[in-house]
Formats: sequence, structure tokens, C-alpha cells
Amino acid sequence: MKKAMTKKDDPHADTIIKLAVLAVGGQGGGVLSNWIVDVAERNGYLVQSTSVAGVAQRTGATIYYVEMCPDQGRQPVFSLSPAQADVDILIASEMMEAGRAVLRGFVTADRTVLIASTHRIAAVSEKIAPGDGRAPSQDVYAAAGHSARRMIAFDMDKIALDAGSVISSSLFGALAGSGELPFPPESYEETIRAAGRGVEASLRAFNRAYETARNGTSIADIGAEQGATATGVSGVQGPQKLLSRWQKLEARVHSYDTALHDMAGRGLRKVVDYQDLAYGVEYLNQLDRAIALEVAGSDHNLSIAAAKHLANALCYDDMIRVADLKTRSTRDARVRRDVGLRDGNLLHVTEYFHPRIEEFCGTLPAGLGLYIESRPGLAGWIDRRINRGRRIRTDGLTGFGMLWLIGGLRRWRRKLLRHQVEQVHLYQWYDLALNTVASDYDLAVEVLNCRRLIKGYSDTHSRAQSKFDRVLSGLDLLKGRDDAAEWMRRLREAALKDEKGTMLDGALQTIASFD
Amino acid sequence: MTKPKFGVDEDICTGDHACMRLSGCPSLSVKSLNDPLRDDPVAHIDETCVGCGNCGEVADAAVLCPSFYRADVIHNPGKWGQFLERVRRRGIAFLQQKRESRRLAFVDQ
Repeated sequence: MKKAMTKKDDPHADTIIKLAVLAVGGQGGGVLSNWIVDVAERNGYLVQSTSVAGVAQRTGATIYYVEMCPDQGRQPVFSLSPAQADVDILIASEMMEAGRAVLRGFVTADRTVLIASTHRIAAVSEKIAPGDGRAPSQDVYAAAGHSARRMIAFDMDKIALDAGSVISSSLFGALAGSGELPFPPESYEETIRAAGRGVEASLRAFNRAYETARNGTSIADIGAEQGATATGVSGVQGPQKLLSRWQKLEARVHSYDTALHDMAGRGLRKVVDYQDLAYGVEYLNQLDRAIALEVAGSDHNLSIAAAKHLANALCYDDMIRVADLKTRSTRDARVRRDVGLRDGNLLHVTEYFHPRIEEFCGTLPAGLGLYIESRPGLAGWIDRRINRGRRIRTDGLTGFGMLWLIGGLRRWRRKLLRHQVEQVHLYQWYDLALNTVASDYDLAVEVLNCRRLIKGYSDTHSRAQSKFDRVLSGLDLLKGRDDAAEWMRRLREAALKDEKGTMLDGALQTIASFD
Repeated sequence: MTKPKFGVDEDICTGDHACMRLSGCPSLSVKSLNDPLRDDPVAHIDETCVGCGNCGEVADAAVLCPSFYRADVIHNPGKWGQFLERVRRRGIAFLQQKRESRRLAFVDQ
């Protein structure tokens, strides 16, 4: 059988440069390929480009294929679509597109230079999981690195956004910086200028990406998107009376083991910000119970889990908290910054609320709330009057004033129905965890970690609560087993995989089938 | 001229992603927070939002959560609009100052 001619055998093969761009619909892959055609033609090359278009915004993966060769007087015959193992430069505008390119065979170790942006655009299946459903980019990065002759990969989306431009500019810059095309960088810049739209921002992104591509990249860039380094906590401000009481609480945190400082410090801030310093005292007192049960050589897992989840449990999401957060001056400033508000422009902010009888009763004093709840006729009557979507303009005095007043109910929160209910649930869970320490330390830590399941508002919250109860119902079945903690963790992760809880049901059935 | 954009308050969002299950918008995605207290990523609306309002309507109708807001930027406001704005801002600043001067504020980075 005659062997197919490889690149080395064919004397004419070297003159055709084959470039493919894999982008997500709406990212500007078309713009990029037009620029590539333009810069090639400026340098006296003959070019052909084809495209399989997508639809805007992640509803289609697009592929643009460009073939070019120097004009030698002969009419070249260009291919219409990329062939496997026959691509010189592959530009992938997103990490999973790079993975797709590898799967499709366009990235081969003998010839392909892969230029990829390491950022992610999450697919729907990754977004809808109740937990964190995003696929890890590291595996794709590693696989792509092995598959390509040379890889240039960094977060080009961030570079583009920081420059006020779009990713096509930074991809173009990375292509220029790679030096794979025999064109001077000036001709790339002329191409951008000739386009005439958003030139300054595009050039900024172009230059930044150009420099980064020339200086080399590393796997450290990957961590940024999926949430790596935590911001440090810094100062506290306020009236002196409160500050001195705060400092005493901080001193208590500092008296703990160093492994606990960060988490307990953050937890304390959250709790005090949520309610008041006395709440902070309650937090630390309860945390002390967990610390007292700590076992030597355990890396303080119990205390750290307690610090984290107890803080989250004490700071349940109620109307008062929402109203408080929405009326802060810091929130005001943040919205203005995110929108990029310039002088002379006004900002109108509309909040989307939908209170129900449950939220209403929860914000009443416990006795009154229970009274209403126990009378379905009355509750229904009130519900019909309040259960409506509401758009509240918080840039206006009435809207803001109403939320401000609700936020002010914070001082009476302890007397309200919701607080009573939450305290009962919270301590049931916490006591359960602490009572399990004696028999199984790791299992107790996992029980604490189950708190992560409780989140959301209204129906989402009730469903989350029921999932939480179901996961903890497995506790009795698991007690006494060596791998109890491991199974508890699996139950929790199954619960976080899908909304309905089908995976959780499966896991619970497995546990029920144990002897 | 008004230009609407939608947003999600990160500290009110609890990271349950119910909004994404009901709304197909590609601009509504997940974002990790640099906060050790929170494990799950929160909802985030990026710069590609065109202001259609689907996310807010869905959160409203399905009673999902109060994290959504609509920010309308008014370009070239008239004199009356500017005057009203000044009055409102002063009133709001007064109320905010009244509360914030009496409590501790934790300044993050």
C-alpha cells in the first residue's frame, strides 16, 4: 500500500500555512479570521477562508479555516475545511474549545501550534448543578499540552476585558506574539487600525497579549478562573464603643490555634456584620464547644468545619438581611462601578422581589407569626394581598426607605419567628455533629459539612432543607461502619449533583442495602 | 436614553443556581468567589447582557430569589431628572449614614 505523502515528502507542502480558529458563537471568531485574511493579504499572501458559523452566545461552536501561501504567480488550490493531523496553527478561543480541537484531531504533536485562551464559558450542564458542576480545566490543559508541538495558553479573555476590548483582539495579539506567521507585528496593528472600530482598546488588548505570548506562559494561569486565592481580611471601622468590644472578640479568635485563625476570623466577621457583637459572642461560645472536642493530630478539621458552617448557619438568608445588604452604601458604590457609570449619567436601580406569606410571617414576632400560620384562612387572605412580584426602585426615596426600614428590623431579629425556627434547626444539627465526635470524628466533620446543602430562598430553600434532612437520615444507617464518613461525603455530593435528588435517592438505596 | 443591564448581588446569591435551571441565558453564568466560607460558585451576569429581563422575570414568577436587580443608565438626563436625582441621593445618603455610623463596617480588599 502506498504510504500517503507526509509534510516532509511533499516539496510544496511547506508553502501553504493552514490555520484553524475554533471559537464559541458570538465571540468574534469571524472578526479574527477576517483580520488574519487581511494581514496575510497585506504581506502579499494569497488567502482563502471558510467558516462554519454558530449562533450568538454559546449556542454553537464555530470553526473558521484559513489557508494561505505566498503569491508565486501560480493559482493555488486551497482546501475548504481542516483535515485531521493537517493543521499548522490552531487558535482556540476557550479552554474547552481547545479540548474539542484535540478530540477532533486538529492538534498533533508533529506540527500544530496551539494558541488557546484558558478561560471557561460554562456550558448549561455545568451551570445548573446545585453544587459546582464545572469540569476542571487542568486535565484539558495537560492533554492539550501533550498533543501540541507548542502551546501558548493564557487567559486572553481577562486581557481583553481589562483593556475594554473583546477576545478577538487578544487572540490576534497572541498569534502575532507566537511568531508562527512570517509577518511583522506592525502589519497586524495596521489591520486593527483599518477596521476602524474600538481601535484603541483593541490595540491595548493586542499588545498585552503579544507581550504575554512572547514571554511564555505557565499552568499557574489556569487557577485564576476556578477560584484560587482568597482575598485577605482587612480593617474594621466604626464607633469606638463597638470597636473595643470587637477587639476583645478578635483576641479570643487569636487565642485559638493558628490553623483556625483565618476561618474563625471570617466567620466572626460575617456573624457580627449579620447581627451584632452579642451574636458574635454566641458564635464563639458555640465554636468553643467544638474546639474542646478536638482530637490531637487531626489537623483541626472539626474546628475548621465548625467555624465555617456554624457561621453560615447562624447567618441564614432572611428578608432583613436582603434588605440590609441592598441598602448599604458599599452596594451602591459597587453597582455604580460594575455598570461603569460616568459623571453626568444617572442610575436607576430596580430590585426584583416576590415576598410570600412565609417570608411575611417569618419577619413578625414569633407569637404573631405562629398565630397567623395556624390559621390557614387568615394566612391565605394575607398571602393573596402580598404574594406578587414587586419591582422596587431603590434609587427612589420610597423604595429605598421601605427597604431601609425592613433592614432596621435587625435589632429585633431575635424575637422574630424565623429566628426561633432557625435556632432550633441549627442546634439540632450542631448538637448531632458534636455528639458524633466521640464515636466517629470524621463522620462528625462530614455532618458539619452537610450544612453546605442548605441554601436558596423560598421553594429552593425548602427543597434544600428536605435534601439536607434526607442526607442526615442516612446517618443512623451508617453509624458503626468504618467508612461511614466516606459514605456521608458521597451522600452529600450526590445531593449536590442534581436538583431533583435522583442521585441522592440512588445513594440512599445503596446505603439501605448494607447489612 | 436608557440602557438597561441586569445584575446579581453576590452576597445575596446563595449559589443554588435555580435561576440558571429556569433561564437559558448565556450571560448568566457561574462565578467563583474568593471566600473560604462559601463553597459553591454564585450567579453572575457578565458584560454580554442585553437587558432583556428574562432572568428577573423568571426569578419573579418562580419566586426564586431576590438577588436580581436591573440597572438603568440614563444618558443625557434632563434638568428635572438631574434635580430629582440630587434630592434622592441626598436623602438616601442621609439614611445610609444614620445607620452606618452606628455599626461596625468590615472593609474588604
